[in-house]
Amino acid sequence: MTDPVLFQIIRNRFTTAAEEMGLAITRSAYSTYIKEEGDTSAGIFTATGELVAQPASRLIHLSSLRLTLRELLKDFPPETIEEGDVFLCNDPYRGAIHSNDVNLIRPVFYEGVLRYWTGTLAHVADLGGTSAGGLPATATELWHEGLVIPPLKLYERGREVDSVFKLIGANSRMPVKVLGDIRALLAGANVGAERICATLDKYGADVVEETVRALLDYSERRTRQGFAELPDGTYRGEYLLDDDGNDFERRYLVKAAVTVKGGEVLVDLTGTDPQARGPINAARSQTLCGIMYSLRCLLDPNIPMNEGCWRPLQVILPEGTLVNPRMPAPCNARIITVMAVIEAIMRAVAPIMPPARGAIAASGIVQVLTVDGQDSGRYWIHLEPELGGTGGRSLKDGVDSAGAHVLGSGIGGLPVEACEVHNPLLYESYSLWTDSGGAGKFRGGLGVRKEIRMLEDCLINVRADRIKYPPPGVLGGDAGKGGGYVLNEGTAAERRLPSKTTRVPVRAGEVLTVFTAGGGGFGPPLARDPELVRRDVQAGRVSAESAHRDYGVILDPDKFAVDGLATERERAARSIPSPSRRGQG
Amino acid sequence: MTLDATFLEQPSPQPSPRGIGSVYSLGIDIGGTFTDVILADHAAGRFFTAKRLTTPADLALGSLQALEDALRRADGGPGQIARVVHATTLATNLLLEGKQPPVAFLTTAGFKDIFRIQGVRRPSLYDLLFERPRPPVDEALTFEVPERINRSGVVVRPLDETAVRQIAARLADHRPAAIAICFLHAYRNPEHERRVAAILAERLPDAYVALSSEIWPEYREYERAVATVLSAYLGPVIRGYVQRLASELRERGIPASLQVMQSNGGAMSAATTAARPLFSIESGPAAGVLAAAHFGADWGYRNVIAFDMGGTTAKAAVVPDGRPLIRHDFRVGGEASAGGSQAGRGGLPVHMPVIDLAEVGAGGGSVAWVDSGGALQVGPQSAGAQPGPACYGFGGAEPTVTDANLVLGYLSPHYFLGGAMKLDPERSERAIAEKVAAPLGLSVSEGAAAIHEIANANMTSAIQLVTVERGIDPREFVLVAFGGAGPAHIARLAEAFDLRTVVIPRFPGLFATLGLLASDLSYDRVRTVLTEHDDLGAAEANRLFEEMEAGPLADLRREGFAEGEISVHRSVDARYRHQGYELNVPVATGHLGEGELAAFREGFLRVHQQQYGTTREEPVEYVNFRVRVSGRATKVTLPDYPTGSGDAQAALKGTRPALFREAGGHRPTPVYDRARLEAGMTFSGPAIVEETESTTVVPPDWAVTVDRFGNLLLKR
Repeated sequence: MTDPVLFQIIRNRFTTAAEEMGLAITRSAYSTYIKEEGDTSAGIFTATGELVAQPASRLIHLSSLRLTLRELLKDFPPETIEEGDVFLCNDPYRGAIHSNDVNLIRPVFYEGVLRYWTGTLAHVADLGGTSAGGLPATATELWHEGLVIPPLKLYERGREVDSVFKLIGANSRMPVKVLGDIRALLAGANVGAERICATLDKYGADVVEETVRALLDYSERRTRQGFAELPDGTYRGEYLLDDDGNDFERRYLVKAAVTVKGGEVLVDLTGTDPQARGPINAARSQTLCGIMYSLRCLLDPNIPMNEGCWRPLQVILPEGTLVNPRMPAPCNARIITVMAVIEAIMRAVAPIMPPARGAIAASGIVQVLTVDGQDSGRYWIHLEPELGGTGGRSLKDGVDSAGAHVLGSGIGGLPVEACEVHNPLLYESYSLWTDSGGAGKFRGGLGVRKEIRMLEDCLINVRADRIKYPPPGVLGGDAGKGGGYVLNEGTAAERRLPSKTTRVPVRAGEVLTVFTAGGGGFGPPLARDPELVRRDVQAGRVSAESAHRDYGVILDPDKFAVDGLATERERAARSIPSPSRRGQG
Repeated sequence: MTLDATFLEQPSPQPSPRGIGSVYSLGIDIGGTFTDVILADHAAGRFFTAKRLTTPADLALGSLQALEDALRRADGGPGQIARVVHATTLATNLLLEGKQPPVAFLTTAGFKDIFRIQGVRRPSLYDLLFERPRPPVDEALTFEVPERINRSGVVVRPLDETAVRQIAARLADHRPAAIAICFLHAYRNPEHERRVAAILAERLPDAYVALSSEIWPEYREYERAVATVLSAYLGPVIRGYVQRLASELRERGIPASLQVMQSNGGAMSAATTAARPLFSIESGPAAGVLAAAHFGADWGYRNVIAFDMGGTTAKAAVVPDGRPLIRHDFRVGGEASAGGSQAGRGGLPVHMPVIDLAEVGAGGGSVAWVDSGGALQVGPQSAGAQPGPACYGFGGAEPTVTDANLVLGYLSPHYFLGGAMKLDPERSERAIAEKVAAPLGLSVSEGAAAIHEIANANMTSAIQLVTVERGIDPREFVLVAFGGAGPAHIARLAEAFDLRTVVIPRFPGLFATLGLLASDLSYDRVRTVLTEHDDLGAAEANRLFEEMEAGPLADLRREGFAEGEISVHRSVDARYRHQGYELNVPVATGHLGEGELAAFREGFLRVHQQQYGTTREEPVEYVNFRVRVSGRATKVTLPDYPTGSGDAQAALKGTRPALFREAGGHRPTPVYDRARLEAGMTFSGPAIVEETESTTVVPPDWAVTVDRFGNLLLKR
């Protein structure tokens, strides 16, 4: 092992540099996705493209920078790269995600030698395509989503390539904003390069390089150790998506086989259904991200995320499927498939999850609602991502309204006051949705139910999943309730919307009720501690009817206590749990 | 462990006339382990200090004991104390322990689940067993009130008073200690909240009631509701505590009224503390930063970094141009905060002004351990006071930073806390050998050196978070180091940032307490307005600002401040319509005319141009109005220190072996007695300076000068 002190110092310096890169982008960007949702990432790589450091909070974009750098090196061999070059790419078939997520990557030269790379990525304002902001649920081709940029030079030896800036500007509805966002990406990448050079100045390029090697080896060693502690074998899981927003009769299934052997893991997604016509396809980098996230959940969360974590991992992603599509399949709703990959792997590894890490049933997903309209000539657009509940876990109940998995913290749970102030909307209620969590020994987290009254005529757009097929339970747990969108609920004009739809006209005064899915239950509901069921009823998470029907718990309505004897009799009478609410899988 | 309460009294370098006629200020700082008291004699420039163990069961007790210790040493009597400022961990402790009786919570019908839907922060992306912050209220004590006010402040559903009376009847059965009320858009129209409070008061005249429209009327209901509920939770206890302490001080003949330090670096009256208890969280750390800012300016340093290292954590704050930075996104009840930019820390958000400081789990008691990948880690676990570091001999078997410092020869086994406590180096060696040196294949000395340096690396990140991460170059700053453990580590931290000047003030272990006596009274108030420039009339702006300022002004007048001592600073948070972030822009004080109002917009355009290099066509929107109302207090000054013969040999206590990596092993190192150092004396590292409450370590390449204020000035 290298000098233990230097090891920690250099590790901290690289991690802090990556965090600073992210901050620099957020501060100088224009796009609301970047400013309000923190939809950005950053990474530092070795000269040969190995990941060294990334900000702690975002993984989803990072695997894209990593693959894009590899693709870039195919087109621009290392010996042709010069100081001051800066590269751009958003092509999902060259490592990127979809048109609006733009990668910017630059080399870091030190004393004339290419030593490192820094890269940044963000959801930029607009790059054309069939809808503003670049998330058309109706896209059937890559080009519907916006301008496609293969790896190319944005700067050449420190000089702006003017024609590229012009081309991008000409292909955007908001040229000033989009070019501002790209300059923010460059600012972030430059901050990282400056910090790296300062570290090389202080400790010497060779010493740092040796320490970086040791850092990657350290993560690899700890990852292998973690995998080695799991029982060898092949574990299988699968997950069913609702639809792709286009072909409603087709099946969209993700299959995963996870093979653990001697400290290494092979994830094989063979058997996954062919790519969709609609935009739910996940480009390779995104599928890899879902795989890495799922496997990291098996390990100590404190292992530094770098190339070492990828080394003990092999993958098989069959081409032409949802998880590794061929050109020109559209990809902007890929998060739905990435989430399905995560669920399939979580289901597969549930039996071997180390107790301290915790297995989990399927969760609700991020459901995105957009509402837009014209307020006396002024165009307004409201973006509202909302989360379902997480699945029940091996040691505790699921978390209400928190099913973000790889997306981390910071989405969902928008303040009602802020939504109303900026848009002609009035929220009539915002509450946890009683009985939405799948019954289980550990109950699934609840989804939410909210009622939004439209104060002006507007259009609504939905990009969701887990409405037709609710999140299933595991090990005998019940499925949660599927989410939904209902106009004018309980009136003659009631209308249900599908999980993916665009531009539905709504009149002023109409009410949209949004439901997000509840998480699946973990373990058989009849094994749940009756006292916990009583508390759920008291807190309004579970109804008294569900306590009886799903958990076999009889409550004494007068004393609001569990009737122990009656409960025991009830549970004994149905020692085989009813299959009525079992989910898929 | 018992401590002689007076052993920390500093020798008075300058004989002064009897204290008759002198004016005293009194600072009382209750920390996790110790309660510190400083009695400052303004005219004579003398300080009387006392330290007692904190008495958790009755916090007032320890502070009164320490006060009596200090008074016994002073020449004057309690009647000469003209100012009392107090910092306490009471609020922080109450929030961490969560043992108070539950608070009842009333909110708008349809929104009872606010704490169960909003506010998730995942501590780690890969942790499937995460939990949301524990809701601060119980479902059974949450009540929905039929009422609704819209974004313009217009009532769209009238308040159902019958329903409120039914709730009042049920609350009368529960008898909650406090009630919190937070309705949607109450920042814009407080009428419903006030009416409900009035109805509740009929049935529950003694209940402590907190209204969101009074506590912190800023939009975004989750954060406002958290502030309201936490205020209600703290209210009854803090109100009782300040009333008790104030009356005890009065009974002892102290004429000055009690003031309490706030997290924003200003003090507040006892009455305000009772009404706004949440402002007293983290008041001790804030006082330390204030001390570095205030005295740093006195010494001629405009840009300082305050560094405070105690038993369990280290805190760093940056003070550019003499003013501590303020932030508005503190979290309470989670892990130790490590700077707001780090994603996913636990706890509940408090969106009120707090001095911006970064805290890391690195202190004297932090435990060193080797992880499963073979990497040496220090902290964040702390051995605390019990079992404490191995060398305390209280049964601790884990090696800590204090153990490493003892093995390295930085601490004396015979002079810890001035000799009040003996340390056992053999226990330290054994712990380091077993837990660190053997697994890593190092010698005990190498293991100790590695622990010391990794603790330094962790603390480096605290300084980094408040400087580099904010785009501030630390090399333009002077480091002021204090807290019991700070002076032993600071020179190496300075080296990490290539900083060349470090200041160790007098009384480093009580420096934060001294900061209490450098505070003004200072009240921050906010009001969300969300109005576009063209819709804001001067009459409305005047009404809002005057309303916000009325309470603080009345309070300061009650506290005896003359008009000339009171100042008001106003600002607005402004943005272009639909921008994501606001900019804070100072605006004119006093009665506003159309001209002053136009200057609001011009000020914003100017600041936006400076920050982003652009101006836009879009309308300007004001999100919040803010005021800070301050009462200028008389502050202590540190007098010049006596100048002596100039030969530091006079203060030499002896030598002991200490390890510095430059020398490659333990070498005899001179040890100086700080009490005998005089202004103008100089010496070079390697050296160690001992005083009762702290030890300064001077590595090779550093030179020390005692400046005319008595500071140790370390330069490289």
